[in-house]
Amino acid sequence: MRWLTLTLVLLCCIAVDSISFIDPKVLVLVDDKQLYQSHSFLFSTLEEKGYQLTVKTAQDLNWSLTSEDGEYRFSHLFLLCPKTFGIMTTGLERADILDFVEAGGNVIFFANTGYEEPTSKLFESFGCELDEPQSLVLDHIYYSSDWDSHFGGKHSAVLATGITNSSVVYVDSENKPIVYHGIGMGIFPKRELIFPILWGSSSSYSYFPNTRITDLPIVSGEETVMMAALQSRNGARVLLSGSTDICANSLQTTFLGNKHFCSQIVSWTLGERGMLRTQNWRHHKVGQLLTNHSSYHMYRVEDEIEFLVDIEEWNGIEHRWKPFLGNDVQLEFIMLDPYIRKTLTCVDTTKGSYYTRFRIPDRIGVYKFSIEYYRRGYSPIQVSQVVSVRPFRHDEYERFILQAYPYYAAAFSMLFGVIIFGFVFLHGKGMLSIKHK
Amino acid sequence: MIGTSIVEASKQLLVHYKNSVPYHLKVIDAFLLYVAFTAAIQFVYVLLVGTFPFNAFLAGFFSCIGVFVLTVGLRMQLNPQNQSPANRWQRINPSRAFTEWLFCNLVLHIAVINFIG
Repeated sequence: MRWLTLTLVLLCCIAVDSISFIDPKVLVLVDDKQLYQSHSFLFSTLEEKGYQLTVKTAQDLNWSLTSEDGEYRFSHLFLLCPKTFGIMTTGLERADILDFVEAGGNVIFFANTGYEEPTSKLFESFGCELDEPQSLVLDHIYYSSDWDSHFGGKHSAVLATGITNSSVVYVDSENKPIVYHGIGMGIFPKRELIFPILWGSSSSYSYFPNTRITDLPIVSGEETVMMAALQSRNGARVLLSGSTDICANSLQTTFLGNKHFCSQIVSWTLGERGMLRTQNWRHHKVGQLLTNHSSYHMYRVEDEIEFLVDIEEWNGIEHRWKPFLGNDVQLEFIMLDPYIRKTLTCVDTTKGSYYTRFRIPDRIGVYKFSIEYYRRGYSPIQVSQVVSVRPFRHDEYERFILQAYPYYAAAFSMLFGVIIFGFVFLHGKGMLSIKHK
Repeated sequence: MIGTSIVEASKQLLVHYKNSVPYHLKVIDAFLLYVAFTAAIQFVYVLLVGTFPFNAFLAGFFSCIGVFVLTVGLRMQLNPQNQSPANRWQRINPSRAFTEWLFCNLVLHIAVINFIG
């Protein structure tokens, strides 16, 4: 008992400590220490929030993604190593990153000019294609004239005009321009999980700077994606960027939106926003008292039932779960096919309680309540609970149906007819006298 | 010609029936008519309204059919024309036939009341 209490107390401490509700250990892998220095603003904000950064270069030998017993030492990977990734990083190849994401870890990867081939292979496995290592996103109309000279005056300091409209990923509170200098990428068609976060204007394209265009750029116009994110089905998030400069210290000035943008999308990727969970499933027959433990797992066909669930969203700033308010969460009642699909309505905004009621179909079997909620930027909700539905008991059928009264009358008239006929037969005048035979 | 002969024949049939059938068999026939009429009404009703309380329909309809069949059995046993030495029923006396009919009706109606819902 004491051990149990102690463990619970410890668990509570851990839960309070962490920013992201997973644990806050981040492995930062950089090409060289200089790259870390040039992004120190970003990393120091992370450290201020309580993340534990372990900074390594690919040349360092004394690090490993997993402990001896195969568990991951980190829950987030921050990779700023486009030149050394897959070449000098033994133990962190493409397959290791994919396994890490599969296990639920978050990955941030910044590519840059002069990246090596394993980097583009990694981007491809997440569903997007990087342009050539020496290419840049160019835009001769929407470029920052203040910053262009800083990057060589090739009109490569482009203004990112397209930003994701998912308010959970990024909230633009400042409305300042975002300057991007780096490689463009294209997202493969028909990919459901990956989506662009930052893209160029209709006049942008990706090509080698200072070169006459001889063939078609691989991406142009608003398809020129600069940053993309992937929200996987298990809740893990991946952020892919074609540029390290976008979050570098040099661009984190008060005149640009880069600082706000970088901190927002990094905190989203590390799971500070948009992580959903369901709590407190309860369902019961209408008319029965509602308590937290009144979830029956057996219903009768045509029962009218009420269903309630609390949906919560992790708030990384306040370090606690807060009610999630949406109007498009749906509940399904499934036996192989969904027999009922209802939109849940939020009835208690302080708890995020969602409610619906429906009549169980006239079909016996094993059903499940299921909520599947996939929205861009939010971790998916995939939860279900099994209930069985039984037929009417023999004494639960309806009695004295109005429609059946003629049949009742007929049956009883037969009964009394037999009695009267028997009486007449025995005692009637002129009948066969059976008593004397 | 045929029309008149059918009318003639049915007239003759009625006269013959009135004269030759004993009184107690006529009472049984009247009861049979009533039972058949009730069954017919229910059949028309189920065609009009639908089979929804199907068990109730079956109970009501089958109680008529059952009573009809049992009463026809009783009539056959009480018919003097069947009392020829060649007929094996000649040894069954009417009181036994009536008791059997009553018992069978009891069993039938227990089943009907149980099934009617």
